[in-house]
This record gives sequence, C-alpha cells and structure tokens, in this order.
Amino acid sequence: MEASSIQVDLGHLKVIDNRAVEEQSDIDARASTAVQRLVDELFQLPPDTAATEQVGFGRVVRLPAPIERLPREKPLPKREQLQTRWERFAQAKGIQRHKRERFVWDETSQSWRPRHGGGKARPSIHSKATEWIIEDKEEGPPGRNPFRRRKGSPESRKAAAGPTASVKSTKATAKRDRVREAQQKLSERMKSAKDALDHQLSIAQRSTASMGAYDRRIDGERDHRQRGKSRAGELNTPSQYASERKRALQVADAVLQGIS
Amino acid sequence: MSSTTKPRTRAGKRALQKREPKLEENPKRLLVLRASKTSQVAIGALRSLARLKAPLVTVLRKRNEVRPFELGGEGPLEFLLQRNDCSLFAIATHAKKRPHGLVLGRSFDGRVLDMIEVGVESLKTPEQDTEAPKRAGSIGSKPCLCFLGDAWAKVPHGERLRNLFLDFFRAYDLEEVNLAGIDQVIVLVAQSPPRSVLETVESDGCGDLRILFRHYLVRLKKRAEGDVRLPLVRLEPAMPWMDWRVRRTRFASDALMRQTMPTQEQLRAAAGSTLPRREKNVKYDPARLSKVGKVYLPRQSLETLELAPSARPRKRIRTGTSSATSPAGTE
Repeated sequence: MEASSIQVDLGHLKVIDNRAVEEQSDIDARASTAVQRLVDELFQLPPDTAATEQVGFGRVVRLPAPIERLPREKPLPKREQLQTRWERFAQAKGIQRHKRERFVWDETSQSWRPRHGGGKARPSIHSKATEWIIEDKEEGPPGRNPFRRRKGSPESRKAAAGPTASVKSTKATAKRDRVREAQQKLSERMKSAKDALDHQLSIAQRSTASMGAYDRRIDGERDHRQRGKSRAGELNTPSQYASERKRALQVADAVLQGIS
Repeated sequence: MSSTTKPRTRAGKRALQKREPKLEENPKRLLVLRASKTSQVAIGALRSLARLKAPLVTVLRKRNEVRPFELGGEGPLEFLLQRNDCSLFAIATHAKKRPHGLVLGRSFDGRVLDMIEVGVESLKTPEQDTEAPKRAGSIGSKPCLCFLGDAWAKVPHGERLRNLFLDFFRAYDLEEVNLAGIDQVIVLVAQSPPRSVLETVESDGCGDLRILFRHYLVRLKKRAEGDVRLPLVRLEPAMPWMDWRVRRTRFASDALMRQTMPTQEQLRAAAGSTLPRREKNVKYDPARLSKVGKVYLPRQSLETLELAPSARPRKRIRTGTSSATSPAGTE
C-alpha cells in the first residue's frame, strides 16, 4: 500500500518511497504524493509561537532529531588535558584568567588613559585624596593648621577607626583556636572509637537475663563484661604476719584508749 | 586537520579556529572543480549543482589534475579539500572512455570517504528552462529531499548511495524550520538496471544504476475541502534536471564509517569537563579523619531465619509468651 511504502525523516526533511518507478512520467505524481506526506507531517508539528513571533511571518516548528545518521566532517575535538590541580579547579568554578586592563577611565580628563607610565590617569583634584585647599572656618588663634584640626586628635581618630588590626587579629586568633580545639576534641573522640565500641559491646554482652553467662560468643569475640572488682583480701602468708600483728595492736590500743 | 601551523596574526587565528574540529560542526561545504579535461555537458551539470548548493559552495575556476579513482590519485583532491575547508566535492570530467562525467563524493578528516562517478546522459539546466527563467527556490533554503524507486534498497550499497546524496544535498542541520520557507524539493529516482546487467556488474553492485535528478519548487495551496489546516502541495518543475548513469564507485569500509559517526557516549565524553567523577556514596566525618561508607546487604528473609540450631532439642516456649513475637515456623 502507498501509505506504508512512504517513510518520512522530518529531521532531514527527507521522504522515501520505496516502490519502483517504471515510467519517467510517473515521477511528478509520485513525488507530489511523497512531499504531500512530508508537508502534512510538518504542519502537524506544534508551532513554536515565540520563534514565529520573532520572525514575523510563516510558522516556525521545532523539528525532531534526524533518524538517518550521517558521517561527521571532522573527528571529534580533542579534549584539552588539564594538568594542574588549579586548572581543574578553575574550570570547575568557571574561573577565567584575565589580564589587568592597561587603560583606565580618567575622571579628570574624561578619557581613557594608561594605568601606569607617561600620561597616566590621575585622581581628580576635586577628590578628597587630592584636596589641597579648604576654608578655615574655625575661630581661634591664627596660624593653626585647619587640615590638622579637621583630622582631629589621635584619640578621637582611634575611636572612629574602630577596633585596630591587632585587636581584630586577636579575635580571629581566638576564634581559630576555638575551632581547632573543637576539631581536636572530635579527633580524639574518633580515635577512641574502638574504646567506645568495646564499651557498647560490654553493655550488649550484659544485656540478657543471665548477664550474658550463657551467650554464645563469635570466634575471636572477647568477653567485655565488666565484673565487679573483688576486694583485695589480706594475704594469709608468713610475710604478712608483721602487718597483721601491728593492725591488731592498733585496734587494741584504740579500744583501750576509748575506754579510758 | 593535522595542520601544525601556528597563526601569526589574529585574523589567521580566527580563520584556523573556524575550521577546527568542533562538537557542533559547520555545515558541509561543497568544493566544485574541473578535472584536466571537461566537456560542456559536464561543466553545465557542475554549474547547476553549484548554483543549487549556494552559498555552501566554493568554486574553483581553473582545471586541476585530479584523478580520484586512480591508485593514489586522490592526493591532490584531498589537498584542495583541506585548503578550502570543504568536505563535499563535485568534479567535472570528460574522457573518451567515460564521457561527460561527474564525480560526487564526501570526505572525513580531509580523506575521501565515499565517491561515485556518474555519466550525465541528459541535462536540462536553468538556462534552458525557457518557460520560467526567473523561477528558483530562495537561495540557501534547506531543500526537502525525496528518494523514489526500489533500487535504493535493492542494490548493494544502494542505501549508502542514498546516504551520500542526503549528505550532499541536505545543506544545514536545523532544529527549527519556518514552514513558509519550504520552497524546494530535490527528487532522486533510482532505477534498477536490467537483471542481465546486474549479474554482469562485478565490483560494487550499483554500477549501471540509473539515477534521475529532478528539482521542483514546492507551492503550498490552501485546501478547499478536507483538513483545511494542512496545505495542498503542488510541485513545479525547476531546473536542473539530470539523468545519471552510475559508473565507478568507491565506498568507505563499515569500520571507517563507524569511526565517522561517534556514539552518544563518545559525544558526551568530548563535551564533558575533564574533572574526575564525583565520589558517590562516600562520606567523611567533619574532621575528615576517616571515610564513612555504607555496606549494602540484601534484605534478610525472616522465613528462612534459623533462630536456634535445629540439631539441638528446642526449648519449650512458655505459654505465657505472645505468639506474635515468635516468628511462624518456630513452633
């Protein structure tokens, strides 16, 4: 049947009709049918309204991916081998190297000037940094330096400046120390993880009604049950006689003294 | 491009960058050239092809000593392809033994991939189209391609030949297309040679295949009846029209073709970053002193769970204990 012999590849705007063409005069009609099928399928694709509006005429549709594969023109580009760790990191972060611009905008001359060297950009004479003349409004003995007065006393300057660098650095150091201490503690805890495991095991081993007396142990499992410490009794050996006698005499002494 | 030349100017650098291998390739350009001997018919066919492929075409005016089908004769052609950054080529040839020839082909990485030689048996150029001299599709629009005939699928290498023509005439790879811009179609009809010829052809199988090249303009008319949203197609003949007879062919091996069509995986690898893969399922404790991993075990089946060694006599379970806690089967 006609319909099944026609195959459409929209991605390439391609249509194939596999039936034999006997006469040259058939070509027109056969091509018309095939192209009609292609156009029908194209017009059934959903329109891309945004793109159509941008173009302003016709109807833009998004084509599906081509079915038939075609050879490339050139091999795939070779991947650049990033050698250093920094290069890899910079790529991951999207850090791009760029040079410091040689030219900067010069406010004074309202033009681009070189950053350094002859004819370089200079700060404006109206800017604070280059203020070379001010009105002396203050009353007082003549000859006082208005610049110095405006600057204020060293103490007030200090107060205005906020904490000094050394204070800031002490704070930072303290904070760093705290962090380090916490890290240290944590690491110690991690090191004693084995001890903690032993502790847990000992609890588990004592957790049956028989206090673990009848539990089977795995090969190599140590007995972690904590046993009550037996009180150290006196040794009943001749070497202990002297101390025993001494203690007995002490008791006798106490009794006698207490009575008296 | 195995060129190791270093650009000395910015413009040179940009020019080289344009022709570097890319992930998303430039559209393939056609190099149109004349062999050392040509005929009026061959040149006419060549010219009309060049006009059809504009603007993705580079035309060389002078004759070139290219004999692509001879042993080692493709060297000069490959040189010209590289120099002009083209990967499709069309050569007009003429010889007493093979008159009015046209060599059409494509290359990969500056090497000839597939090519066929056709003899032009009849030619109607746009100049001869007296009926409508001004008719033409808009220059550079992507043409529709229509392949008719059973020979494409029947003849050995017929599908490769169709693939070559698709590559040759498709122009741009488009993601979106304006339906108002669909104005031309190239129709290629393959007619099988008679059976007797098929049996005598020794090498490639598509020798003596007849290919009819037809070019039409597409006119979209409003439909009077039926589904009015779909337009009615009317084709108007537009030149060039050519009848070709396939002579010599040379097709790349399947292994080479596979090389030219990278897999999705290779494409991803070429597009991806060079960063090592992210470590998965590995965690570190906050101080990064130790790695923490998870060991995955299959779910334990409680059906087959053996709570006590079966060889020993089981302890009697007191009646007071709830049966809910003892799994089925222990009793």
